[in-house]
Amino acid sequence: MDPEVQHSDLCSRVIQQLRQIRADLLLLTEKYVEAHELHDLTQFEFAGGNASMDSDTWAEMAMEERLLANITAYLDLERRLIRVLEEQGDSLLQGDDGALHSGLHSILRQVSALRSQLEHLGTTVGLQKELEEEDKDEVDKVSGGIFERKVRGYHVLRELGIWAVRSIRDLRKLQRERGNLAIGAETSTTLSE
Amino acid sequence: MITLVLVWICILIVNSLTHPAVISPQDPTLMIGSSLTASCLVDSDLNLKAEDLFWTLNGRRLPAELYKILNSTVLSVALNSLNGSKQQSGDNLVCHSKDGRILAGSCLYVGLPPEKPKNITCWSRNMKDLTCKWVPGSEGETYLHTNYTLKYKLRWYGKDNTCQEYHTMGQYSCHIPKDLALFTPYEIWVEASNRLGSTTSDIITLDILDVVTTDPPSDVHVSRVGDLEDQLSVRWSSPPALKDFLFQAKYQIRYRVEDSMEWKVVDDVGNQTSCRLAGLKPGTVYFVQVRCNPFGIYGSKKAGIWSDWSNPTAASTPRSERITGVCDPKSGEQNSTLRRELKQFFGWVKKHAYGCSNLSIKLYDQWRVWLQKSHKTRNQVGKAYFITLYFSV
Repeated sequence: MDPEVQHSDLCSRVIQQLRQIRADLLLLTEKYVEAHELHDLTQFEFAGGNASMDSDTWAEMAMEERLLANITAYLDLERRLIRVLEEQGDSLLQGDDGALHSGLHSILRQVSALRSQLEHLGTTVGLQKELEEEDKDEVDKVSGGIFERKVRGYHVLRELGIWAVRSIRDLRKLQRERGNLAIGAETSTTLSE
Repeated sequence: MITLVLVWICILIVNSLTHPAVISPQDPTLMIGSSLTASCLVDSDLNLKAEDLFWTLNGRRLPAELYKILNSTVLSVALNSLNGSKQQSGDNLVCHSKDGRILAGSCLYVGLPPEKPKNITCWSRNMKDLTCKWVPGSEGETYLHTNYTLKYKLRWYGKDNTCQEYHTMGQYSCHIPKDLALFTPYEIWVEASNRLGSTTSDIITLDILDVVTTDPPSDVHVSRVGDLEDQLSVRWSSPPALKDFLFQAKYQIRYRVEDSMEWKVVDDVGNQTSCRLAGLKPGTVYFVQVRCNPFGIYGSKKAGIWSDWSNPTAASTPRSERITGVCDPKSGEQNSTLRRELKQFFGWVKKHAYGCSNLSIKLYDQWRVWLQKSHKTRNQVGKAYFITLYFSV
């Protein structure tokens, strides 16, 4: 298959994955907020946990840099989701009928799959796998009070939602840019002939 | 005591280095109706004043009358007559800065200690395992998550064992898959515990032989009795899993017409493995199920436990010749017209199509069972099925 077509297919697939994550995440966050009685607290600002990177900085970044930032972010989110599951498994999810627990597991699986796909995409655009496995196995120990754990989980879900939207935009852009590059290369070959 | 206070102060100091504020007590457990005074200690380096802070409980702002400024960095709140927690994950008591920012939080677990679990019932499938169910105390898990542990031991000399497989037959159930002794009674009880305490049910004593149930009878066959239009014959096999054990069996049959959900039960079948149903409607499809009650296993005096019903088996009574054609046939008539057509069709298939000898009216009856399960309209599917058969031949 034509590498450009292959690349475009891969981008489309990752975009689909991201859309699915976003859809599942909306329901899961609703369930999470309900189960942890956080709905009336979301009107107040929670300290920390933002997907930092202002839009100007983002716009100035090269495509490869953005992809790298995406991969790093999902690696971090994956690690934090594992932590959420660990620190909520013993007490906070006890009363849960299992839906929230399995929902968190499902999102974790999806994020892992997404990260792998993004890494694969990265190699197709020539990204070096320098950040590979960085601290991946190092999950922070359970800490803080129960409220803190609840909020930590909420932050992770919220941040994942922000990244999912951002990544869809980035991948669409990457798809367009590569498409244009391919057309450009084709035109210049035709002209030189 | 002094050591504990020192440790607490150390924790506060460490926390204040990483958190803008600390609430004390952290995540307390309280009885419904009790009172609590909590305090929010803000980091003095952050220029936060106690008088500017406010509290929320589950996101609702608590009135300032409940607050007390203990010093420039500590604000307390007094909560009286607490209600049970809204969620089992605890109520969120939160300390906010003037601008609403969340500085710290603590989860309150307010509820009641568990009550004694009741009505423990157990059954053994084919004497191989044991499943028990129970009912939680009246408050159950209304406010706090409650852990239930089923324990059992041989009556006179056994040691306590703990059941491991929970929720197998509903929320309050546990399954012991193996290593059960016969001829010796077991003592069984359930322990319930939550953050506020624990309790134990009454102990029940049972012998596995007294609580045996079995698989539903297998090979249930329903067939016509010659041309008798109001009768069907039902035959079945006794449960194979119990064939090597000395036991008696009672059987029950239930049947219903295709269009009704109302079952008629025949409970005087005794220990026979066949029965004739009489007084049925001619030209009607009936669904039949059988169940078994094994009792008197190795001389047990207890009444056995009924098995589940077998899967429904369908058969039709012969059509009455007395029924004459009606201009506006009702659905039953439409059925019998379709059946007549199908019968003719199968006759034709037998004559003309080689290698399709398994096609019979029984297949049609099985299809009717399937049709009832799927929620499709009878006529649509009936026609589609007819056409499919026609073309596949």
